Amino acid sequence: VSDIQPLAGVPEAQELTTDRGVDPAAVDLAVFAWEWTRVLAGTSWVAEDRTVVADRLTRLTSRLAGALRAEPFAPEAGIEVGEALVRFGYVAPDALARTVTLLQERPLADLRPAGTAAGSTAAEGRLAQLVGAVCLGFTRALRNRTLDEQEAIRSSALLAWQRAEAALREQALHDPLTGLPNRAGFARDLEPMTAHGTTGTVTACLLVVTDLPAVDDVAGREVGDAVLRGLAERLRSRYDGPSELVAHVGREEFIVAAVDHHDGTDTTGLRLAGAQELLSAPVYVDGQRFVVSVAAGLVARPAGRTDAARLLRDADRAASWARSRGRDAVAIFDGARDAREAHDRELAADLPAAIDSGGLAPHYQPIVAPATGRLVAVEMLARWPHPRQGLVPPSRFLRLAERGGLSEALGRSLLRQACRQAAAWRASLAAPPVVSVNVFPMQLAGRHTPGAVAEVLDEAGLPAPALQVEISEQSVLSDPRVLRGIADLAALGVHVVVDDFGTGRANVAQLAELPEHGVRGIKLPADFLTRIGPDGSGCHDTTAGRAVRVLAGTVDLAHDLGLQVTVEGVETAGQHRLVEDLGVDLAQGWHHGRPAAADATTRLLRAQTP
Amino acid sequence: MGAMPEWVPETVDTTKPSAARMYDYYLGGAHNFGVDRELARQVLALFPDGPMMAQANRAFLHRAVRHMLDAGVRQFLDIGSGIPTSGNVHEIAQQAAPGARVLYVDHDAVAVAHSELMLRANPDADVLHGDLRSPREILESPHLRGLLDLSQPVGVLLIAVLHFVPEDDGPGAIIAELRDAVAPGSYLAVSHGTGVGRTTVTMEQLAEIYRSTSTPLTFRDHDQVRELFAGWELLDPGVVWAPEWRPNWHDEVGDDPSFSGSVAAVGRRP
Repeated sequence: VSDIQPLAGVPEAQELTTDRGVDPAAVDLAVFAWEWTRVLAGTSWVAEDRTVVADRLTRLTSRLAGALRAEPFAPEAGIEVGEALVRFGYVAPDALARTVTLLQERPLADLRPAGTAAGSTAAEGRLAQLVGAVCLGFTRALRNRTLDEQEAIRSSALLAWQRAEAALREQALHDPLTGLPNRAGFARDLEPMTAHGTTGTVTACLLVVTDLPAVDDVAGREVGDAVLRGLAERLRSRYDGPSELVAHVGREEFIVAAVDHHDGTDTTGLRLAGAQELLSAPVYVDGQRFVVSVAAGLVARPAGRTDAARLLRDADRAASWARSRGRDAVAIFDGARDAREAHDRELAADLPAAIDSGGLAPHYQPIVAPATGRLVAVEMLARWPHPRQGLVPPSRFLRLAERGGLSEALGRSLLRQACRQAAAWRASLAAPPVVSVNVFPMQLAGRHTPGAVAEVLDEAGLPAPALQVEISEQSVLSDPRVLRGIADLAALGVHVVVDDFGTGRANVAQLAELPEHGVRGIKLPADFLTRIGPDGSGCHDTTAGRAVRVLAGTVDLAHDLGLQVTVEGVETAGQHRLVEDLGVDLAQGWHHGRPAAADATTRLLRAQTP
Repeated sequence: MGAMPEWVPETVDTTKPSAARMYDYYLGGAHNFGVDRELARQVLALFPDGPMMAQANRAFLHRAVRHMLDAGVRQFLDIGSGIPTSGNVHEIAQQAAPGARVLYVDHDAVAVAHSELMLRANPDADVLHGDLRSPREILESPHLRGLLDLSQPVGVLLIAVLHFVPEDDGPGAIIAELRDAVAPGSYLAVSHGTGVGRTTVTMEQLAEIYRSTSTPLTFRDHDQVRELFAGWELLDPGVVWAPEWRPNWHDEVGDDPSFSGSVAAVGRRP
């Protein structure tokens, strides 16, 4: 023992005295426990103070000593001791190695069973079995502990992984700038409120901060971010009810939504629309004051029959209407208007391809000389057979073409098709019709139009007089550019007529000027005949009678000025007789034929005996 | 309304070694994976005393906590707590003072999950997934606010964690922020890996091994650790080798306490 330093805190052997003097067995035990504490120190992490450890090991030493002495011998105690070592934290393999060595070498070997000699075979046998039992208990406990810890760390890793995945999913549903749910988060949060079978009404208000791009541009995006965070905070604290949602669904867009289980949706709508005012109050960023303008779009739907995507879309439509109305406007979603706009959008989207591919098919309406009853001309009228919306009237697609900057392309495409058709008729018919084409005033105001017309004629091999150009009187005749265009066309030899005479801003007084600009005729709209009525006559003092006199006077006046007259809207035999009687040059209307595709018109022309 | 997650999640990749699980291995635990053990064995090849070093560090933690308990501290903030092992702070604290509150903080998601599973039944201990380098987030977290009362002294424990904070992350400023957040009478215990007494080559090899973890190492010496205690009153014996800090038994220090590779100190906020 001499080479071993005393270990502070462990009872010294001399302390183990009793009233009757030193108990040699107790001394042996204490020395062993002391030695054991010393050799185990540092092998493993054990939290307890060494006094606690020494106490525990003293008790284990007693168990071992007791087992060696016991009759009959019960080596199972060794198993418990091995297990206890592990339980106390001596889990390093070295702890077992040192314990086994100590058991072999130290005085415990002297704690021999009664009646056996030290180092006797019987004592050695017992000790060997006891050491085996300690090893068994230790390794078994350590193995279980290791397996338990491995299982625990794997469970923890799985839990951590699940957490991280869930957090990532949650993060994907939020906007990092404001912390509010984003579009996907809004959809997720709204879903339980709009599940199938839910009653009540869901109302949503989309708020578009229309000034935000300006704030971003002028003050910088960081300031824009700060403004958005301020606005988000206002919405979050105002709309914090259990059935209310706030989300940040675009850089400058927020949405608030609420589900109302009563039918008092008006108040919900009002409450949500109040968000607009809430956001319009000044926001301060670093002492700088910002007042933003907010357009709001409201939509209400039966809760069980809608979803986030539809709500967002419709509220967005309404907000865009509000926006076009001016600063700080609110608009309520209107399904009919939306359907109309949706159809327009579809047409507008399809229009360029339709123009390019000739999808806007020219139709031709017969124009007849009443005197002979012969078909002498046709008016080309564009028709758009749309795959989903059916036959689209020119009034709609012309407006869309104009809005989309496609008027010129459309006009040119139609003109080209009409000229080709006219040339084809000239090649195959003895008496080919003049083809009359409408030209948009905007087109005529453009410098290139006369040149473009000449080019198209040239391309089609059509002589200029075979083409008639109709110019709507509306809004055109006062524009010097339009007048110059007419003159240029007339100079080419194209027959220029003014369409819809009398409906526009020009008046009868202007009639006098038309010939000098190169206009060769006028077309009178159907209104003249509508007032007269289907039988084409009227008593002198009735409206119809007066209308006949107006028509007759106009025809006479035009003829007087050398202008050719075409009357449109001839629908009955009576009206035909009237225009014939009045000496009208040309008549057009359902009585003579409706607009028809090129093939059908060709058949009609062929059927006419020369 | 869905709330924003408190921390920015990162994917949990158990194929990447973790310093927390390597430390568990040094202490003889089996809360680790093959990748951790492989790297830990490289460290042990360099430092055969590794387990002793970890134990010395752990023993310092115990002594520091006991000292704080004796001084009346009843709440602890253990940042960089790692994988829970036997004799955790809450065990020591709650044994000495039932009701003592402990918040563990670690940035290792697996260590946090493990702590959470272990603390489920303990109303006075909690764990927060946080990073020492973002002390404000820790201090303002609902976890902390719900458990610790910052108007009362707190025992702040930065045990074997500051050597994972490079100079660029401003360890001094981090500690200052913690200091300013806790009440007078609070304590700070630090133990810190150091290269003092070792060859540069050895320390560079060690740093190289840890570079493959998500927490590279920065070693500091006694003076540098002392500087971290700016604004704290250093308790005797100041910044010393970890085993030298108020040992329970005189022979614990041994002939050469530098074996521990750790310097340690405890300071009190005046």
